[in-house]
Amino acid sequence: MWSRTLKFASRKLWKHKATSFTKLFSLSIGIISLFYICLYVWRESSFDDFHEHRDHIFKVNTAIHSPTGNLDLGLSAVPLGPYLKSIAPEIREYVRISKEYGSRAIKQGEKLFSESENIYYADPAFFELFDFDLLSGDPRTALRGPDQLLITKQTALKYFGNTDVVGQVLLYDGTPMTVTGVLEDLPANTHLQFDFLISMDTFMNSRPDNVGENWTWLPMNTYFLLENTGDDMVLAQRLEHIPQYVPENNTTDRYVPALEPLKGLHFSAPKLGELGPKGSISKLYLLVGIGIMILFLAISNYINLTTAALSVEGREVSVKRTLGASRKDIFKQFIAESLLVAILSMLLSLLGIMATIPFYRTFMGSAIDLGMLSSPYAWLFIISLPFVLTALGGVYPAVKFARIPAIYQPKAIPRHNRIFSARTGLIVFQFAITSGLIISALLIYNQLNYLQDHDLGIDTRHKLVIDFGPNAEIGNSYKSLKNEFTRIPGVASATFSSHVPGQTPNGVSTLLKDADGNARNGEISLTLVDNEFISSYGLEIIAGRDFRPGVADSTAALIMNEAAVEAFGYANPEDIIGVSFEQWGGNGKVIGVVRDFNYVSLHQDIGLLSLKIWPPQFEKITLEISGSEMAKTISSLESWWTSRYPDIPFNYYFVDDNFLLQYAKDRQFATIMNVFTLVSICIGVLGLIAYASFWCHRRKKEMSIKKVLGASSASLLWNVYKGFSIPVLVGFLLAVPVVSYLGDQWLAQFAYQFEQAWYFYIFPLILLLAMVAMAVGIQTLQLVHSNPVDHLKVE
Amino acid sequence: MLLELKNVFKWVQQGGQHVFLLKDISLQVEEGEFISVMGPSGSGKSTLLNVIGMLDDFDEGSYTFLDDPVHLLKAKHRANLYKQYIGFVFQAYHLIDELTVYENLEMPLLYKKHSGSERRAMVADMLDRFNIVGKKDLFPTQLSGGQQQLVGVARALISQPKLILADEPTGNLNSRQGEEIMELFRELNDEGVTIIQVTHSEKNAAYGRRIINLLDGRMIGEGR
Repeated sequence: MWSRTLKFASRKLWKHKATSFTKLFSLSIGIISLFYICLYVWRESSFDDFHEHRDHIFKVNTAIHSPTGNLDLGLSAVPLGPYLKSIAPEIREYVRISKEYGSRAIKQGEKLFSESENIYYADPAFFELFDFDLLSGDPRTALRGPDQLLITKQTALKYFGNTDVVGQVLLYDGTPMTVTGVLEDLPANTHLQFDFLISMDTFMNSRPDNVGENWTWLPMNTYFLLENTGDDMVLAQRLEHIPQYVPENNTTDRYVPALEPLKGLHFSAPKLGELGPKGSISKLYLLVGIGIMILFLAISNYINLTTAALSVEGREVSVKRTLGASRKDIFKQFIAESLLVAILSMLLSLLGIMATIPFYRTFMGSAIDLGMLSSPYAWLFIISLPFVLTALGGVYPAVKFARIPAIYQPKAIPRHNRIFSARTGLIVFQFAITSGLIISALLIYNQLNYLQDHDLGIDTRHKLVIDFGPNAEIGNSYKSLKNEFTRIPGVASATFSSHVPGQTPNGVSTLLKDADGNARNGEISLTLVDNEFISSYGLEIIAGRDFRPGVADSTAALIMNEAAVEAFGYANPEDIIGVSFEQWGGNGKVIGVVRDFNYVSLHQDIGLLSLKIWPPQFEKITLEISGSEMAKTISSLESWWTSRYPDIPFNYYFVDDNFLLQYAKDRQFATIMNVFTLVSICIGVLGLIAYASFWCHRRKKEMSIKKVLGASSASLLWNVYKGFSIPVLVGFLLAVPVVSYLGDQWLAQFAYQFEQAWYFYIFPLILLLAMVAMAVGIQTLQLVHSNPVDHLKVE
Repeated sequence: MLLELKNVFKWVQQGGQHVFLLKDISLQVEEGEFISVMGPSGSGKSTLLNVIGMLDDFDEGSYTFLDDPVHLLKAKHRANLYKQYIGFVFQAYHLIDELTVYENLEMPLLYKKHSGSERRAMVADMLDRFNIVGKKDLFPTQLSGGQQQLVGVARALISQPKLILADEPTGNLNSRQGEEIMELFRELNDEGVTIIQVTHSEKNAAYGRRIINLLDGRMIGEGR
């Protein structure tokens, strides 16, 4: 019986191709959307779940309370780990991880690459806390001893061409290091994302001798593996009483360490210096919401189109009833049809997923982790999905059809003149969702454009950066190098610095007399620059003077930005000129104040910034490229560089590109919203087209009579259009308050927000109404222009 | 006696007034009869047929079918009754478009839960009898009107009903096709099947052995 029912159902599906296509297409898109959202949600919510000890691993964060403001860091001091381990029996092991900043030159034979952001230093117990698979090497000893490192499989392949490389040597900024292990490529769902894992001994050897006792320098991500559940309460107590952090007086910075569990780390508020990508739980909820809404759109299309067919198929059901079909038989038939559609949609979406997965991979920037599919629940879900869809979308129409009596009574079918019917309700809801998505997409688009076009107060155009990494030799010879660079055709100017705009400079503790004459300590970001940095980036000095060549400015001269000046209580920038300062790396006097500019993304307000000349710490050269022959200039730069510094990779990027990278996450979010908006528009419009065709079929007699009685085509069209526009309009009006609330929430994360204008909401409405006109118009036009006699024959 | 209607009334409410569709209909039908119901449009012919076929309710009176009091039966019981004993033939054939001739014939048997082998035998019989074996895999739209109605009649007959109710069975056919169908009805009647048909045509009505005339829901006379 079922096989026969399915056979008939598939024939029916084939017969009504347009409707079937709409149903299948909508459902498939809904399923595909749901799949990707599940994939994403699974990835996000499974962060660091694969570590066996995940429930017993805790991390130390440090909050710095300083008179100029508070700083939340995901970091802690070098001695904190060993100190606590020595006094706390509840700690089984500790691991400190320090990420290497800046670019490093790594060389193997002839292979030379610039590496950045992917180099970690770690304590030997790393593998006791974290479960990463090793292809080779001994996890207990691999990180013991200096100048040893582990690399990931893909890194091994990149440098050696094979993975059997234990014992081989890599030159790390010229220092030979031995590979002691090869890791399987890291999963995407961990906050530890590295390609090189270097022993902590190496770190200690390369830093000043006293770092082991420095409690105010915070380079470490410190993790503890605790013995028992609940031990974290004990340890938290100890953290409150670290003797080194008892404040001496109230002018100094106060350090407040606190524990954070590994579980939930991914979604907690971002802190400075944390490792790996952070997730946003609200975005996750939003995505899940969107996924459910899209599926709902698809299902409501299904319900709408299936019940709309009542007028066409009602007679057939009646005939079947006279032939002996019971209500149950009819119900079963329609459930079978729904089930068939659901299963076909599943298969179609499978094809769709296979076709789109490469895009997802590129989009997410990481390998697809199909670990989700290893869960039995996932399979249960996949297998039950057609039934769930059938239950959601098929039962209501099936019940409706089963109620059709044996005598076909077209007049007994309600005329749908009611203001609110289930079907108009669905359309209202569909277009509420679609309007919401369109407005959101516009909002995001406008905000991102605003950010891009916003005047940063800094000139980032035509600026190429050569990122050579820490190299005191190059830094110290910056004066002569600048001359050599400017001799290369196309290079207008050259300036050296430790950071370029778009990169967050390190905060340093700065002691300065405030406006009231009291010595005050503050955390201020410090960028090390040469004397042409300010003029080259078009910054404006508003008080005092710029660095001057020939004057002994060096580390004794400091230029601050307006924000920093205000933080120390100076209302007038002139007043701070000549004030003495004590800061990491040198003491001296403030010589100038620079107008505020956005040196990092517009997510953040302008922070406190200071600029100082310190050549050994220079890591970057900014070259202003003039002229149109960009490619030629770059290639001559590269050949000049590689002949001059064969061991340092020619690693370059453009300042404006680099600056925009800070919005990559927002862009990703915008793309997601755009895709889903498009999807929902597609589903909505398709549904409307198909629904309008049923509507025309049912109303052709009525329209024909009106026409015979002298109604103009325009008035008929307007009538139909009005009928379809009202639900769309209502949906739109429902969406506006919800979206404007959510939109404000989203915008609140940016320090700079674009101004919303009235046309901002009108445009989506016009778009929607135009789409309705298109969806409904063509078919109604056909109907209106057909010969009424054709539709007025006796039924 | 196959069935008996006694003082059957059926009305609808329109503008606060009863509008009678059937008015005081009393009718006895013996097994083996061939009855033609005639009357102008709106006289209640189809309503009467639907009441007899138990597809429609009535408001007053009694209806006995093979000793069962139809007006007292529950809907499910009534459905079982017509499923077993009554076959319907429609003016517009009402074959299911997505089903082949074979499948259309088989359908009533599916609803009556016959086994697979039974169904095959019964459908094969029917195809044979109506000489449409060659058309069994065609879809209704591939057949002429006359052929479609032939299938319609075969479908009505397949579960071996005692009574065939035909609502203008030749209304959509040309005269030659119509005649063929009427000849078929006569043959069936000769074999013992009771037939009640609604018709506009005097010529077709003449095939019946008894003619009932309706006007405004009322029986205004019986012929022959």
